[in-house]
Amino acid sequence: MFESKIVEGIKAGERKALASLLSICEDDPEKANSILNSFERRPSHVVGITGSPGVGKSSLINAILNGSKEKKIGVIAIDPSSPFTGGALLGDRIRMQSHATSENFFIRSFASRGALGGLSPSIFEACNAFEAFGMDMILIETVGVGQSDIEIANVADTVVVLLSADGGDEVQMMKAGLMEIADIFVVNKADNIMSRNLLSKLKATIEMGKKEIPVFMTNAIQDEGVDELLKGLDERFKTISMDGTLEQRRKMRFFDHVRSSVRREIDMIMQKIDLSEFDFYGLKKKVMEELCKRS
Amino acid sequence: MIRVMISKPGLDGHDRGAKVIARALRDGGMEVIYTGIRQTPEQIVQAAIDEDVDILGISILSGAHMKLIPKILTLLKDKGSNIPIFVGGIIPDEDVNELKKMGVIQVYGPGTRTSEVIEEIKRYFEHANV
Amino acid sequence: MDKEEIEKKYKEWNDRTNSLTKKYPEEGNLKSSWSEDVKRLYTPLDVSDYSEIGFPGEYPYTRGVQNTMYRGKLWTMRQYAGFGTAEESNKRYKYLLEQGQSGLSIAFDLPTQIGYDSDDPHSLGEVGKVGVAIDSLTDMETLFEGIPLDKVSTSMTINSTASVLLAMYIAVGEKQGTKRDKLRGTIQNDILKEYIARGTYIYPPKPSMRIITNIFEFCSKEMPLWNTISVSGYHIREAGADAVQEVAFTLADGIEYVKSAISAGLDPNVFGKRLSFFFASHNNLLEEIAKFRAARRMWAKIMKEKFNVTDPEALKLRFHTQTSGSTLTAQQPENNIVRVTIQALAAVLGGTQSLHTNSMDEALALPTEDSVRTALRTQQIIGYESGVAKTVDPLAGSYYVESLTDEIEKKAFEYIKRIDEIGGMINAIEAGYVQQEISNSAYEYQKEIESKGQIIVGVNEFVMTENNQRVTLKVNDDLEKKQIEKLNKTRSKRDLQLVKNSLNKLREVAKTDGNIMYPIIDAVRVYATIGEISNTLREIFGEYKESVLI
Repeated sequence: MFESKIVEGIKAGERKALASLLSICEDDPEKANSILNSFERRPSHVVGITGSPGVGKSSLINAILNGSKEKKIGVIAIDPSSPFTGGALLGDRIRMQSHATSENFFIRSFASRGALGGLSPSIFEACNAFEAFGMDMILIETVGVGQSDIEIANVADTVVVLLSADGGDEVQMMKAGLMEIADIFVVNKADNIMSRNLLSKLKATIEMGKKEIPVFMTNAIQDEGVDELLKGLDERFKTISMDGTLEQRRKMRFFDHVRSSVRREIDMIMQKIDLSEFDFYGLKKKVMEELCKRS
Repeated sequence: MIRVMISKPGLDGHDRGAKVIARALRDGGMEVIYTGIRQTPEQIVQAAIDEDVDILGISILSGAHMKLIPKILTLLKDKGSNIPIFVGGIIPDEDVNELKKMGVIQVYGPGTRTSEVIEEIKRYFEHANV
Repeated sequence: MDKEEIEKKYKEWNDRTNSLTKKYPEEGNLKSSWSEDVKRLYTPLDVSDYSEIGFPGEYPYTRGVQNTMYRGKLWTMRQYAGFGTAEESNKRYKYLLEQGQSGLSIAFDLPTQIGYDSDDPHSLGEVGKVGVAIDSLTDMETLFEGIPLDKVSTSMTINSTASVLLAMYIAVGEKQGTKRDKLRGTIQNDILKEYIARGTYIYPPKPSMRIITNIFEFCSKEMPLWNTISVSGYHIREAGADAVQEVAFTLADGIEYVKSAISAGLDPNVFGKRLSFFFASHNNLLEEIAKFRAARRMWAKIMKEKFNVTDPEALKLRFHTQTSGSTLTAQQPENNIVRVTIQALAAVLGGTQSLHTNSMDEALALPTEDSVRTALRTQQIIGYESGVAKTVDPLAGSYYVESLTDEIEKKAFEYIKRIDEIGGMINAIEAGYVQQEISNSAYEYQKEIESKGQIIVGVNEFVMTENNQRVTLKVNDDLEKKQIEKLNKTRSKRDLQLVKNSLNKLREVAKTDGNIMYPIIDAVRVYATIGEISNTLREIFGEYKESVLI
């Protein structure tokens, strides 16, 4: 699709245009950035959903969709790329497929393509694309390797950390990273007897810390507890829009976006150089020179 | 990067072949979106369009292929999409010819090697790019 | 020779043989199908104590569940069949009974298995394709027209909607004048394997287990001759599991069902007698024989040690076998007759109670009358001409077979232990553990075939170009239309108020903890459809969604 057609299509709310734009985000992020510049965007609530594999992230997103009849929601579901073959199995849609034909929802699967932190290299562009399309909320499902999934805090306005009693999450929880990035905790699999235990331990841990973090309990597969979570998310978005938090985080996100774009340039430069020719300072100088040339 | 979607339409729940192919294509370096079983043609088509896949693989062993695949082809056309389709499963010879006439690019029967599927998909896109 | 002497002589023989292999090397795939090395030679040193082997008809049942096995009566030759309309299936059943088949085995189409009427949008293209379409009691009456239910034993391959089909069978019996306590047969009724491998689930695990225990209770009171569950390993194996996993996951499912029956207040000494199992039979003749023997011994130990069962009848693993569909090739289909023969022989030497043999054209379509007759003849030739039925468990004492039996038992118990640690089969299924194991085995096997580690004759070796003009069975396409017409006729002739009342009663009972069999029987009697009954339950129980695992 030509750029102008995409811009028109997005403005007209055509799904095909969004689908094409998301592909451009992956294949040619700089082109995506230039297309996205022509849009005035109203901020969507970007919600990152993170947690160990098997904890129920896809089910939770599905439950959120079940409970959100009025909202327009975009879902970015990320799965890991194989470091050996470069391929990926993207299976998060399975849990959400009943919503495939829903006019208000748009689900898109991304492979991590080597990005760290359980995200995708074009996550910023993808979020901006969804925002340009006019989504009220963007849900990002990270790969879910738990501990190292803190990069999501640089992308999302709200980080939801999902825990479950059968996920060995008690230990996880105690580790620093999760506590710092979580804006909301959700204890899933409420039907598991150990969940009450986990819930009280979690609340106790939060008490001991400096941050007040709301905690919800859900049984995502049965759509239980999700209405409260949705209310909590809406309240949070209202609050952070007014008290400057959203602005702050958007600034941080903007910096990270620029940083990731520059990193891409550096990667492209380094791919083309014969690295063995240089010593440390020589190579550094060469890279900076090339970078200046490209700007 | 080739993005493939693998789906099972209708009520057939035998997903061994679909899962094996999905993995094989992943090992062949492709990004594979797997939608699982019990998909309606509408769900498959909308998902394929939203995911902007390069090619769609349909797995079907229940004998319902001559109703479900034409429906999928029609829906794709109605939505202005030209995503190519390949089919895997139990399809009698006469139906294979019918399906190809309708626009299915390949039908893979029992005993097909996954390496064959990977090669043919890669070759298809090489030709498309030329 | 005593054991020490044998050991010494064996070592010497092995050394001599090793020097021979320098000139005549051993080649090819020398591994078991679960990738363990197969030894060059097995000796008395590989056989455990005779107490583990035992005697037929007695604990631990390694050698069979009856003392005289086939000397008294051959296994039941029970060919799975059914397609299209109830009329056509009725004709095929009468044909098979005439040709000497001793029991009926019914295949239902996918809409019937998943609780959709033939005119439901989900049923598009599926009506009558993989089995017979049953929308209401009308179809069931046609299916058994002229077949006396007091003279046959009927096995129904039905799971999520087992309660409905059983109710219909009872209602047909009533119309024929046969009381329900005289009816003989089986319903598969094994929902756990649906989540694992077969995919015809409707409701989530908990309500599904409730329905199953309702059926257990109902049958234990009202249908003493009816087998209430066929715990199935066939589909698990066909989905890609290896022989060890087949046994392990099947018995783990069995454990879950026994647990469930016990918590419903049933006595496993009584309930255990009506449990039956269903396995596949694959090409590795000796592994398969050992597998069946191991399964019998394991189940007896499990019932005795875990559930404290004392009634010997309740310790017995009785099973039906079907030869493996996934091993059949579309290439050179005549080869399949040979494969089925080996697989059937394995089942017989393994002591199966009943057997279905696949037809040679089944990689391509449902079988023709000719192919199905050959499949039946295969069993008859084994039974009457091969001599293997003249003595019980003839392969006992084979050093290799006994060693394999021990090995399969050991490895399968390891899996069962792991599943126990996860908290039982339902937890393991929800965590995706079982599905992942199966998916991994399936993928590894495919890689073996493509690397020619495993030869499949006609497919990756001994290939030829073939003239593909084969006559296969065609299912009539306007069948769907005809079935829908029939359904509409039934709908117009029945008393709608009675139907509504019966569904309301079902709703009430389903919401509380009554036994849903009774309201379902009442509902089928007034010609409520399978869709109406299943949708009523869908409202209350919800629907299951598969796990995100590949």
